[in-house]
Amino acid sequence: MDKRHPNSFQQLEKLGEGTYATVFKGRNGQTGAFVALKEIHLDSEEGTPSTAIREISLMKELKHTNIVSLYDVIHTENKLMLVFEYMDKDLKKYMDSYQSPTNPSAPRGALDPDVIKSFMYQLLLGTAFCHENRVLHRDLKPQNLLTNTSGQLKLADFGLARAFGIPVNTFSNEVVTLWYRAPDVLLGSRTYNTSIDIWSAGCIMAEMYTGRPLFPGTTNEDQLLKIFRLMGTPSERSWPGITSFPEYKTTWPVYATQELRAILPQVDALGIQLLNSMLQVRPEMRCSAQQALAHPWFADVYPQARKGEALGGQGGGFKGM
Amino acid sequence: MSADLPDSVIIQPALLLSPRASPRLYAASPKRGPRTATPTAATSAPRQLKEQQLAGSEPAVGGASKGYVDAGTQYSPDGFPPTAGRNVAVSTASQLQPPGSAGSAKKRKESGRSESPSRQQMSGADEPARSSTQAAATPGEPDARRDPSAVATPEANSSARPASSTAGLPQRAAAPQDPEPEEARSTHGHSSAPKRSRPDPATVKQMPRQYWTCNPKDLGVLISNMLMELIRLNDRIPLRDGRLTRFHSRAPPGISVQDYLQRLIQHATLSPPILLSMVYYIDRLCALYSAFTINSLTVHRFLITAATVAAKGLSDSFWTNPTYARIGGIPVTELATLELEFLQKVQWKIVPKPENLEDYYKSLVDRTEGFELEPGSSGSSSIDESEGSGGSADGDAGEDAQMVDKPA
Repeated sequence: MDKRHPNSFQQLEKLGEGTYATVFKGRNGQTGAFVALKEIHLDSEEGTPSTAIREISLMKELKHTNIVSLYDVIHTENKLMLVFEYMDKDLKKYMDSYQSPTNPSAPRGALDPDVIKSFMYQLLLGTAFCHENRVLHRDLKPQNLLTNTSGQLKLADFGLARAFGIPVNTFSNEVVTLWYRAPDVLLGSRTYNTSIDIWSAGCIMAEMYTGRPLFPGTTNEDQLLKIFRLMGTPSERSWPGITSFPEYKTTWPVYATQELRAILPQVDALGIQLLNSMLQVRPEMRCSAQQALAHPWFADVYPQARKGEALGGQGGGFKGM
Repeated sequence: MSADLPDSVIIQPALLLSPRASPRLYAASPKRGPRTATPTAATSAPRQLKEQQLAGSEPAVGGASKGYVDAGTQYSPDGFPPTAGRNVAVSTASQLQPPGSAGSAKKRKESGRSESPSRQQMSGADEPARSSTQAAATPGEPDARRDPSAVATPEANSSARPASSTAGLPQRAAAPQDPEPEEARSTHGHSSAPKRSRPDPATVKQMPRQYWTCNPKDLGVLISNMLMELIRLNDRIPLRDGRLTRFHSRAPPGISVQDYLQRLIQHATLSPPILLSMVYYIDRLCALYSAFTINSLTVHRFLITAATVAAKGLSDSFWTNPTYARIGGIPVTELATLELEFLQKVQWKIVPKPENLEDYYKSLVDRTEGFELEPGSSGSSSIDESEGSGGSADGDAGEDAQMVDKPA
């Protein structure tokens, strides 16, 4: 396996800190190439964190242009170092620092439509690949999507992901960062499936247009109400079975369904159509990643982004945009 | 604790037997085990195997001429073709049939004690046995799982000591033996192999086609049967220098494979998918780590490590490492070491293909005398159907406050 010594990587600045790991920029001593070094502290009580076990075991199987590559796992005395492909910044930082050169009146953080389309396409390619390989990401959000200067976008942070092919019954309800959490999960579902990643993708798409999160809830309940305010309060008639969810409340205010078009006037008609099919409140009504990729909105996506499809899991692909 | 680690190659002599470790296991169990399944049948009946197991496994080593290994697995030692057969192990199920009755359990326990050669691990084995009696008395309530397990338990007993239709024989045979497996390999011929196959249609147990709906304890019986076959074969192979691994005990722990696995199933709430993943890990680890085989020295540490890794890696609900360590009877520091060693040796690839688990299940049922798949169309493997099925232990575990639910 990995016989490379951790010292063969020069540790540079800190890129971020997660709950169980610290990420540094690193440089490969031999090749000079940048890498991202994710350091995981090993506690003799906890053993190897389950997040690390999942992340490593799943990413070893998921080799795809739109999924960040795990190059190596290096074990030192009291830590694990995951060596990842280096990406310039996450989508959150990318949006935060972006001011459209072509449309100065666009709000800070809002991306240009062509870029949004390309990012969405790549996000869905990566997601479709996960789903085809029976993996749920379960934490799609801008902070976990990494971009580089070539305009590539890749899924990262599989610490919450899980394989769903094996019928291990229990699905945790505590998944996905609140703002990107699907209504069925918010309602307490433990039988969710790939559609929860699609909901997150829909939220991300809207956020790329506006620069702001679509549903910035503060609590589980508030999150649900923010969703209902836009999508309408579901009822047994619009969503058979909803009353049997653990978090179902009879006290919800009854909101009428808003037109997405009115909320997101900057999105073209086809884009609204796609968004609508991803942001279905009922999980079984949401489109799959494959269906989303086939949506006509993507007909004119950058060929470089589309190339990821042809290249499959081969790696490489983009030559800048 | 770290004192346990330096000689991790030759790991602590049968730590499971050490009086300080064992009572903790059981002291913890009543409140930790979310299920109190089959307290008498499952806990107390296999318990007395501890004594017999030690003895039983060793003569069985010699009886391995009838051994076989599954074609779908790679654990056959040199010279053994990967043939499969049904004529294994269980045999005496019918004789033991009074299912898990206290009487038979007690009797065998006594006989085990009286005949047990006074060796250190033997006396050590009494410790967990006694404390488990107390533990079993506490949860006390037989529940819905009792029946299947009660049927399973005698099977388990017989499989765990397949060579011993007459209890005294194998023990006497084992008595002069050193705990080291070399002797077991060399000295014991095929003493009791013929006893091992005695099909009795009346006791055939039907297993559901969908493995995730089966009773974990039944699956545990199938798996320990297979493990015992492996151990019989592999214990014949001399322990060569350089083939010691972190998974090796210095001496066979004084708790039978059957008993140990049932304990993990109950207290660590291992569901059928987790159990079958552990079987998959045998093949994976053996394929990628040439020094490793399942034998009477490695099987216990393998099982607790595989259970820990499978639960943490595949399930959303799992226990903390200190809990697994307690259940498994090893120091938590050692579990951390074993866990990482395991992950590295299998190159971190711990997610089995769903269809592989189906195959393992079918093959386990197929190979085990006294078990068969229930008739009917072959089950669909849709995971949607798994919800609400009674087979998984995860659901129960999830209600326990001490469970680790995945954080957001």
